[in-house]
Amino acid sequence: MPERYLIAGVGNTLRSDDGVGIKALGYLKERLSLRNFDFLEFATKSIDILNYIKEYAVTFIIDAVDFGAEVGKVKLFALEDINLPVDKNRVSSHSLSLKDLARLSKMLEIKSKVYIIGIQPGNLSYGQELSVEVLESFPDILARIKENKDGLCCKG
Amino acid sequence: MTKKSKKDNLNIEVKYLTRVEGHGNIIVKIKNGQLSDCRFEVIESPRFFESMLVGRSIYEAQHLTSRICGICACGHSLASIKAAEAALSIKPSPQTVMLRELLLHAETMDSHLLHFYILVAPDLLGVKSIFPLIKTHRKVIDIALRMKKMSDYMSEILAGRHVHPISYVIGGLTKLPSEKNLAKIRKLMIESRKDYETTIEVFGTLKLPEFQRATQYVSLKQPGKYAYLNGNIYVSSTEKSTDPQDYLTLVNEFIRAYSTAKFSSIRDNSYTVGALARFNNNFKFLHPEAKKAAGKLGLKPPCHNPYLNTLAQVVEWRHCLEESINIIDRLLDKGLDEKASLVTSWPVQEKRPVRVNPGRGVGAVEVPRGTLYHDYTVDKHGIIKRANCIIPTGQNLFNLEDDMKKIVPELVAEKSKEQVQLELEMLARAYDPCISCSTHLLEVNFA
Repeated sequence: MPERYLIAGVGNTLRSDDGVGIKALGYLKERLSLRNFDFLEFATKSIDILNYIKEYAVTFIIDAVDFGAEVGKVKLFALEDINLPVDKNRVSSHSLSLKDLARLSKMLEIKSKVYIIGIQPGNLSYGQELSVEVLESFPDILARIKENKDGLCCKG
Repeated sequence: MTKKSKKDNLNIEVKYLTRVEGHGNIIVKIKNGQLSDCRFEVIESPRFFESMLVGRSIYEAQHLTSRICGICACGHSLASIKAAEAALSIKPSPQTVMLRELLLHAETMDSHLLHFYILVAPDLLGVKSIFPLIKTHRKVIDIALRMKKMSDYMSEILAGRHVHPISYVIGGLTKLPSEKNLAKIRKLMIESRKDYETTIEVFGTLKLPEFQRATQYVSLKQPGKYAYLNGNIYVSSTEKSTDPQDYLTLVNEFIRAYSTAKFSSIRDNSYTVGALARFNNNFKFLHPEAKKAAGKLGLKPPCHNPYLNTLAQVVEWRHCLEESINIIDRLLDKGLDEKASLVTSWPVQEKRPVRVNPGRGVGAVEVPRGTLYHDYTVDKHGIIKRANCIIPTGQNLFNLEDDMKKIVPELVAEKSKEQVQLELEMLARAYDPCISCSTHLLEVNFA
């Protein structure tokens, strides 16, 4: 059996660039082998993702992430590299932050490698269209997946 | 002269309440021994979904409204579809109704499980979140995740994706689940029975606060069934049922200045919707295994303790599981019939724009947190001219505040400020509020 990877799109397609994770899935499906990749529209659900990522050696979570860069900029980082203090009381079943996901994943001893592919959004207001710059980031997202599917990127 | 106790003056401000969806505050003030302020503030931004629907085709409403909630996406979608079918006078086939019931059961199990294991259990075990429980109660967390996986898988198989159903549309489905996948779900369900028994043991040992306040319990009611998908609106105080198409003769929405969610009343009084209301109104029709579970948990109707809504959810989980197995068995015995359910998502007509009979329709569905209403008026082209959605969390706000007004004097008489605060937080959490769904108050006139 070939190695299988999971690509999960996160976000809300009614909030413009927040839907980039979902919209990118369509682009990626046409360019990656379905023999190796599974695609998941994870949208706005939360803790459930733990059940998915533990079934794959490598998972890519695609989401809009504000890291202060220019709109459409793509950044890949490993889940375990998220180093923010966790507010112990704020865990919700409905909206799990990446830092909570990182902590839960560690505490549950999930061995899978999880990468976040963050795309800098420009517009998060109501709307179904992506900014042109965010739309143009799709080839870069694809390239990051191809480069890192063997789980060799980043530390950890 | 009597010396004033510290509790003659009390100020509790919980900003924000944790382990609920969205942002809400609990504000309680006692001055000179008198309760001067007692409210639950919903402070989320309004969502404008009703305005978004106006001008859109009724055939896309279920996709748009499913985005109101990531947890009750299927419930919103089904309420939307039912409203559209009522407006357009479309009757779904019995097979489609069964598939809809199955989807609703999947969502109810999914949502209830999150609430009783992830949001409520930490309170009952004296910790602030599930993180500490991973160390102290790892087996229980593993069970919760395993049970969750089953309902997640159901949603994927039935609705075409993990969240925000894609295949359920007006008149039927665009794609039927395969019989092979239905059999797979069934197997997972059978396996879940064992985990459920452990769940009952766990919750049987946990102690929920004692509190009693009878209120109006409101839910759908359908002859011979524990109603989720269909039925009339039943109000326990009058023991009368109302056709969902006439819901506005019953449910009165009103505004409180501190809340971005509307409140609701029936006969000028607060009322509650959700698992406990359904349990009280429809106990007779619970599956026997769910009744057994209720017995083990000591839950009996009528139950007037709102904290026990959580136990009613545990009981309903078993009901939904057994009903789902029954539905799948019936579907597999008969074989899935494409002709009975398969439709296109838009009507096949030679001319555009689409032509329909103009009208108004209401869809009422029991979603995990209670009765949900969608109400649409459409023109001859199926374009929505008016939309109204009444969300369970909004309907429970008035009742929650009435509970708070009764419980605060009882609590302050015997408990510390910290304990009072904790039990108020637990009370609000017991309603399993989905605050983001409930915020749709503001009306904006654009110049």
